[in-house]
Amino acid sequence: MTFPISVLLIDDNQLVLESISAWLEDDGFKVHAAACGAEALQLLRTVPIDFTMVDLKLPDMNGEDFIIQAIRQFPASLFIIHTGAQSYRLSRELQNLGLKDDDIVYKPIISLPLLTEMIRSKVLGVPLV
Amino acid sequence: MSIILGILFTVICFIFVHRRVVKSKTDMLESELAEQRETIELQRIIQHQQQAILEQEIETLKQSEQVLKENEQRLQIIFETSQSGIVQVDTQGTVVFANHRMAEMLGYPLEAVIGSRYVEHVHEDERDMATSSLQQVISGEIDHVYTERHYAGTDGNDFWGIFSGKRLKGADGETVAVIGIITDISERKQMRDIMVQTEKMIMVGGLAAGMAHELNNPLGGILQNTQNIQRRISPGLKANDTIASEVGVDFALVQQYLQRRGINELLHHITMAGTRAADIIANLLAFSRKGTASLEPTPLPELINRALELAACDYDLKKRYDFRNIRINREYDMVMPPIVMNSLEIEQVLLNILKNAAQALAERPSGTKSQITIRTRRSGQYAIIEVEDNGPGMSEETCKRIFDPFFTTKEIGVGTGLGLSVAYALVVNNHRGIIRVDSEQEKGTKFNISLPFSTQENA
Repeated sequence: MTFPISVLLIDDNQLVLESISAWLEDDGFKVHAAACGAEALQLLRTVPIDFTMVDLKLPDMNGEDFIIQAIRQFPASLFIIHTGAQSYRLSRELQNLGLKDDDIVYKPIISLPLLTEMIRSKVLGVPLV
Repeated sequence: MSIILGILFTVICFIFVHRRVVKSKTDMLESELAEQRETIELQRIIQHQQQAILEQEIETLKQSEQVLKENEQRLQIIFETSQSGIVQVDTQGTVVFANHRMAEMLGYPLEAVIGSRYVEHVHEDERDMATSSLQQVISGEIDHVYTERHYAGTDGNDFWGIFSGKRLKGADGETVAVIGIITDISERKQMRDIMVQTEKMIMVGGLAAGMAHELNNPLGGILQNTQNIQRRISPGLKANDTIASEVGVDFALVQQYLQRRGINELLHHITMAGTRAADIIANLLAFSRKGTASLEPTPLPELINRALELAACDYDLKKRYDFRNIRINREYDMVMPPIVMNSLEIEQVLLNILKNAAQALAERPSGTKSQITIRTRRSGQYAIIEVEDNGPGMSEETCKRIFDPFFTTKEIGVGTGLGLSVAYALVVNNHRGIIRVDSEQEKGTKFNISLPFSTQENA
């Protein structure tokens, strides 16, 4: 059996965390959840994480700042943004760190199977079909 | 000697007397002459004075003639150069006098305007109103009219004017005619409408931004958990079978039960409702979208073709109004330079208009082929995009409210009433453009989008 992909979800909304966790767990991912930036950084330090999905509005920090901090400390991990603001566009700094427009997932997630595919393709380096 | 002396004396006396006589005669003559001279002098003075008076009168006459001429010329210049139309309407309602501007505004040659009936030029919506107010002025019931008026013009080139009219009175105070001045206020009115519309957008935008963000989380909970439930009651997931056997139920029977009770259907309805709510929120957020992030020069034909492709594969459109059955005419100005814009937003605008057109075309009775014509052209500093359909068209009332948020003519649950107001917000607020709609019932609808080539102010 291959090692499961490890995913970290960061959102202060419990409903959002639970619903996405349930889906990803059913799909065989190892899911970790954090309700704030500090908790997430703590998790990143203690468990191996392949993929992190960050809400933009965290109680203790801005999601962008979180990624900027985390990417420096954990360059091997992948980060994407999860936001309800449809008008959100990547900042220059995040672009420079290698994030692309398709690294943004908008709330609510209408198709969870697509999220599964996206995580697999990003982590395994296989292009999306 | 004495005789001589006597004669001498007599002669002397005679001379003396004669002299006296002559002198007195001379005196008399002289005084007569003087008197005559005086009379002549007097007459001369009188004549002189009379002449002066006459000259003065002539001068005064000349002056008043000049004043009259100037007055007339002034009126003539005002009449000819006025940017307002001026008409004189007789008591029968016939135009007897009009300036060129009036003819230009109405779209007829001056000769055709003179002799026509004034109320014929008023748009039919207001013709009765105009007839009665003209009557009131003619009858003297009211002295002056000042009102906004909708005029017809030729070929549907109607315009809005301010009519200011007053009675022209004859010598006995009877009405001879009504003089009216008509100022075209179409542009002003349009600006006012745009401002009102923008206000509405800002209000909705403010409300939307606040609530949309908050709503996306609970919606995520609903939609994502529905997907979880659907998968957990369907075959295919290993965990489902495992747990079913652990608790000792036949998973196939559970599914049968759910099927017969319509649970899957009910869950599908939750998904539909949630997705729709998400759509509405996404649209609402477009109102508050500020600061067009990625402005780039975009060639219009490319952009329009992309919007057409999107419309053709739009699920909703395919389901209800088959886009493939509509003939699309493309009339692009291929030499037009690219326009600096947020292409995603303008694509959205076009898509919303195309969807609207497709929906309208689905309502028209079968007969001639449904078609949408898209034209682009340059007009000064603006690029114009026209989207015209040959659908059933809209009433004037609908046209007026077409860009209002939540205004829809579709049945409840079909339209959100946001598509075109979002289009409006994106064009006017985010691109400093103009969006207009012209429609005629039974003929079709034409949307006209003007986008400035330079969007430097666009922040």
